[in-house]
Amino acid sequence: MSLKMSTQLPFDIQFLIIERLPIKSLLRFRSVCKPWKSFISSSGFIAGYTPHPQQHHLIIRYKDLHDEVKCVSVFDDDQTFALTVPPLVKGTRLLDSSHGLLCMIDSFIFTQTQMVVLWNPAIRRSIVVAVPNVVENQQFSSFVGFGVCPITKDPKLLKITYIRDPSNSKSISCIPFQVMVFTLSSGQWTTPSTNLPRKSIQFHNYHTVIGQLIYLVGNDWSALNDDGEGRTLIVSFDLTTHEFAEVDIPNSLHNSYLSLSRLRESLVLLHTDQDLIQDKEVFHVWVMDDGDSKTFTKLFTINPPNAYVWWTLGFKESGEPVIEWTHDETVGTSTLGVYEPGLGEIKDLGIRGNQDSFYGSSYTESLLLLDHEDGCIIRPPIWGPYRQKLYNRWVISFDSGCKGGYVRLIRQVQEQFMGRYMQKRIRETHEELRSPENPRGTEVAGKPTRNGGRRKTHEERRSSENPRETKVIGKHGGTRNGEEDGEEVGQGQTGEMGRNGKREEDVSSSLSLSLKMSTQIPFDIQLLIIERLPIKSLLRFRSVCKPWNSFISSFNLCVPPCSLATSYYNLRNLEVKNLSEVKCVSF
Amino acid sequence: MSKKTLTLMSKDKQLFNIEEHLAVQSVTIRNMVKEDGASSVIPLPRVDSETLALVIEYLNRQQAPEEDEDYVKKFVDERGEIPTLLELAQAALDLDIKKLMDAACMKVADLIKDFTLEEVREALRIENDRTPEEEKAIRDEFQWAF
Repeated sequence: MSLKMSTQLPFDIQFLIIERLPIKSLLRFRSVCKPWKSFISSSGFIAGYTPHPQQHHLIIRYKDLHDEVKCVSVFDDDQTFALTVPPLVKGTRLLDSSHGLLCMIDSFIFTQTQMVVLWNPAIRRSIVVAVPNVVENQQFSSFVGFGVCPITKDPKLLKITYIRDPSNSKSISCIPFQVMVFTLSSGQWTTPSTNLPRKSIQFHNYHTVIGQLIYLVGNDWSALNDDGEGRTLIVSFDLTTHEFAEVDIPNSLHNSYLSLSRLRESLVLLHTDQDLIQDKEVFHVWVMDDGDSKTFTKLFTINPPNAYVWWTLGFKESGEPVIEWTHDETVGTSTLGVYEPGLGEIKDLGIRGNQDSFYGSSYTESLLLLDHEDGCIIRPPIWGPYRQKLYNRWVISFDSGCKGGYVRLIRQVQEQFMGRYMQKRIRETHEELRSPENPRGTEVAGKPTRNGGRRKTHEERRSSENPRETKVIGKHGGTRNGEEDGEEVGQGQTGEMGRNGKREEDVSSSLSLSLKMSTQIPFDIQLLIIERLPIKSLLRFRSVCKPWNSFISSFNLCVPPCSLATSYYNLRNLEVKNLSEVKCVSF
Repeated sequence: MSKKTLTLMSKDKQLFNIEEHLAVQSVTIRNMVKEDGASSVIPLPRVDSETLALVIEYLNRQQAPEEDEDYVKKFVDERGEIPTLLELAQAALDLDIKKLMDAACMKVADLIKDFTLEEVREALRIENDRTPEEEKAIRDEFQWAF
């Protein structure tokens, strides 16, 4: 043997062995020698790597009884394993997972931007992508989708803006930035102009990605169902061709309230229904056949006796759903469990958390993001330096890992952007609202009124999840008022004041402020303009109005003046002209 | 029908006989047989006799396809020495016997996955081409994995 040892092992054998190593060993063995490092770090290897053996599990994100965000893996044998949650991910909710990446969405929308964290828990790496043109106002609503293209292994984000009130859809000829697609490898957002979803479709926040298709749920208001509501439909988005298509669902589901999940590699429709006898919600599980027919079959109904099922989080490989459930729906805490359809029983997994804080997604490990710097932010090019700075601080507030950091940041935003003037105005409005004609409003957002109809469940699901969501900007919960950008911040302030025991959402939704603002140019646009003014104009324009003054005063004037900003500013098609502009911020 | 026999010659000129229908599990041998009918001896200049004996043992005993998976696993498990496995993997690669190659590499990966860096280098005969400082810098990126 000694003779054999002296010769070097051919590289092809070495690489065959490397391919079969688990991720943790790969990360360590990068320092074995230079060829190993470059092989493991090569984009081809990162994209092609799948662990042996491929282990499927579910990742569940929830808030524990101390309001801490936790993540656990649930394996097929019902073992659970706690994950290390990076600071960036705290305060986000889990949207979905694809090829080893978890897409975590921050609920805070600020100046039409929403932060999305892509997190690979296997290599403990996460990056932030700022999604531009996210609107939540009287007319429009946006939501973000995610998937990794199975061919190129390129993570993609999809942003769709839809008309919030579909009865308006005829008068609105065009939805600005209706669809935007982000590709991580290029760092660019593209705005396709053909083959867009119809304007009459109102999308919901549900989402699942299977293979090359992202599936979305919507209501089509051009075809009303028996209840006089928009017909429920499923829309798919192809990650390879960027095309939308509509998926046929059984007629019986046209009236129903649907959410999506996946079972192995098949699409699952979860039909939320009322059990009138027991007065509680049940979930009918429909699965799409993989063949060409694309028909749906009803598998079973999740209806355990003596327990309330809050949400179906995902499915084990064996087909059993993992659910958030409780014995008593008034207590405000839920438990993680596995529902056994054959027996109609729930197996308790022993994890407790805040009601409605559970999100889940099936997950397999990968090496994606290994070639990205941890914590880097990919921002849209239209940002001026001021907001860049602000977002750097957003990240730092998470670095400290505490909610306090976030609240402080919000205060800064309030003070800097709106100034004391606006604060005062909002306080006045707030005082008005407290007067006797608004006697109600001490309720808490997550109160268990789920019987109040399906739409409400949906809204609640969106709104009650994250205290930040209600505290900072109640609007994500689908509040009905006009919300110009100025008010976005305004709501943040009511949130602060809402601590006095007032229900934040009530206050924000009935703020009359939005009406006053509605005729103004959105604050967002104002900001974009101010950021690009030369210093001399800035100094003059401080007296335009008080918000301008406080914004400009807070603006650190040592930042480069407009010349730099305008060079890459191209609102019409949001493209990063060269990659050096995709700034990476590490900490 | 009489079974045709092939003769394989190892690096150190030893001859091994094997029935043709078993030998053609190796894609390399199958192609050679197709080309010239394999009337003569097939030379395998990169495989030594020890390893070739193992490969032939594997090919001879492997008959029922449905038991392949378990069999090949057990086969490499019984020979769980890293140097032997590496030779086996190399021979399987040369002869293009995918299952054996897969199993041997998987076994090696399994054995070394918890090794220290020094142990990996020793086991796979790799020289460290970095200074300790460079090594530390790379290690620091994923300190938690160590």
